[in-house]
Amino acid sequence: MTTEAIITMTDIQKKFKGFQLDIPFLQIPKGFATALIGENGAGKSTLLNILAGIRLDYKGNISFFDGEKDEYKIRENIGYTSSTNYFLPHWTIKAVGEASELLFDQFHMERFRKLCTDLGLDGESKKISNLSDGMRMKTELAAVFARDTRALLLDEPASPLDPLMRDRLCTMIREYLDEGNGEKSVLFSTHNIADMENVTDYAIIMEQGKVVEEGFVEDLKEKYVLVKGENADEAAAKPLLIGFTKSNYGYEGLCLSENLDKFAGMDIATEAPTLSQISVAIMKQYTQLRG
Amino acid sequence: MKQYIKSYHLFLTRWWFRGIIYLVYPALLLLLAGFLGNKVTEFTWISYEKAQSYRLVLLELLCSFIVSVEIFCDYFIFGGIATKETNKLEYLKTSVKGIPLLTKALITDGMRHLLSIAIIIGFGSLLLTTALSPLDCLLIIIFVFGLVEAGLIVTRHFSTLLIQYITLSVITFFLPASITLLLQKTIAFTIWLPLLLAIIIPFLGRWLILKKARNSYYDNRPENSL
Repeated sequence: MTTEAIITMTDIQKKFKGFQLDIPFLQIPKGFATALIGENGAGKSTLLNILAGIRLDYKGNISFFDGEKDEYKIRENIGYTSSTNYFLPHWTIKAVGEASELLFDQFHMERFRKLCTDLGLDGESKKISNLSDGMRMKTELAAVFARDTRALLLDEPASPLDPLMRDRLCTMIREYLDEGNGEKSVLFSTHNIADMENVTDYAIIMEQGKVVEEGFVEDLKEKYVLVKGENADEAAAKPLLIGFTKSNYGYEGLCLSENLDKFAGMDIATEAPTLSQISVAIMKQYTQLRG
Repeated sequence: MKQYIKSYHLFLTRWWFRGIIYLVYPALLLLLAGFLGNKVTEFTWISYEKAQSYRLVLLELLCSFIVSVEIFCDYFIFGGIATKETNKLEYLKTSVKGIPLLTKALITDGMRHLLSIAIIIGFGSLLLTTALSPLDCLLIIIFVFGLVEAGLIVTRHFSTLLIQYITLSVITFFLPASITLLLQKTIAFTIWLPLLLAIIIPFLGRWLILKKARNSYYDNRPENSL
């Protein structure tokens, strides 16, 4: 599938405290929801910070919105939420709205108020520092969705949210994309792959500062196949599998569809993997975790 | 101007705190000045000179209160804004208007200090019926403003209240003697130094905070930064 890109990154490099982000080329497809997946310290937040313009010490080129050069237009069209300290701690929900009005020309106070009500953020005078992590994330989401933007960069939006709100977040992302008629895009990092899978069109899997796999979810599900077999074939099957796991009932792992014929003669069952299974298997290949 | 005030109010969010800063604290200090001024007048029959020196001491006390309140309240406005944890400003940094907004807020804060100090010392000296000339009064206003701004340079670089207390202790310890020395005008620099400090220090304070905010875009200090 060929698609236009909303963001194109070339030769992105950033070194920081024993960590190196190294991305030779990466495009975020236009009009889709892209999930950035990877274990802690893989470089997801660093990449999002660079794209959001709050980290500037990197090498390489980033092109936004078909080569737009005007910094004001770029920042005005990007909504970003962070998983760390984002608002000033003594701000209230009301102050977030007032700040957004001053900071962004395309911010709509009425929409913000409605979103706050819809998301259960009662009490405009509540201090941000007194809110739970989930409520703080809801405030961030209300602030970015109350703006007219062309791209959303959401850093771990699902992590602090309850399952119901995660479902709501998926709906909000889908509605945002539908409103854009192919012009709006969302890039979000997540550890909650299963919860966010139904909204994910494209997936980028990162490990140790590098992109190790990427593609449309449907293509990835065709590229890989989940193989399950009996323990008797373990030795023969293990070298062919990614993310090999074993239990009393047998083994399972991911295999490239093109390699499926190598299992000839083994008693196996195959099924289409979920995005979560694909991600975990690939992450296992590159992780530095022991055991 | 509206933009400047709106920007400032993003840091001074609570309406009741605005009330304290804009009205309650200046009004209380002026009431105190009026009350103490009256009390001293009751004792002027002892000696006119002594009463005048009491009035000056009371004005110095008023100045100490101003410095204390301004530096203490700043903890709840720009507290620790120049500390390393400037990632608190992430939302501001996602907009091109973020740093200009911070600049406007800091300028408004400086103007508010100057105005509050001028009103309290100006009217306070009238209520205390000191025999200060307008020039002396102006010198004290400028000197106290410079001191407040100097104290804020220190306290805004730390996110702990302990630093506020230490800074306040140091400033209030030297303040009365400094004002007395200032008013004697025996040394030329006692006139020019406060003026100079009141001009340089606010700019220096703002420059340091904005430099920190700009550098917070970088994990590693940029090569071309000062």
